[in-house]
Amino acid sequence: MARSGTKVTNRIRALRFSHGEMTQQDLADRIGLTRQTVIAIEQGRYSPTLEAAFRIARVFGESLENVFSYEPMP
Amino acid sequence: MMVREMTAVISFITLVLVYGAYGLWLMAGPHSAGETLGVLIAGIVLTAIVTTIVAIVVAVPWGIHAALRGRRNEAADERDRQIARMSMRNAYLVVLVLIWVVPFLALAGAAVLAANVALLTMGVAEIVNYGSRLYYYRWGA
Repeated sequence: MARSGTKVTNRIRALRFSHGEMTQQDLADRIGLTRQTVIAIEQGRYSPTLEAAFRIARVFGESLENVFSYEPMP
Repeated sequence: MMVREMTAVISFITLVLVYGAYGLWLMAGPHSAGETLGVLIAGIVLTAIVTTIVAIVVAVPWGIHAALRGRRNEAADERDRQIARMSMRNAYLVVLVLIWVVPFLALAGAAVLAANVALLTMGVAEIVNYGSRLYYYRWGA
């Protein structure tokens, strides 16, 4: 669950563009989430469940660490 | 703004208007117990009817618009469910804080006041529920 100040970042936007300019709707359809949720994830307003995170990584053929990164707050 | 967010906005406004109008009417009193009970029940029924109609009025054009743009009407996903859970939890906290006043008022013989506090509890809880949804949709869950 994301909270303000959470330092979970992701490369989804960059990965979408490097995968044939995949749209947010395309990604949403492939991982079974809504487009609004994909937007929220990209903007860092929502941290997906581990299952959804794995599905996203699998779409791009990347490991989880290559899509999401987490920096603990000081 | 997606349909769930839009529905939450309209429900929030409807609740504030209906309960606010009832509160103002109550404060403009005094009113008889029967009159108050009648308006109280009418207010609850009106809120249920208005929010249901509003939900339909919002959902139908949004569905048509989405279909015209080639988007399917999306079912609730994990984020929607999480936001609903967190918002309901906030509303439940409001109920926990306010509801215990009701039995004391009832035991003290202030039945009308007890009914109004019960309504206030429900009203505030619903407002917190929809307000929380809006907050989480806008600024993160």
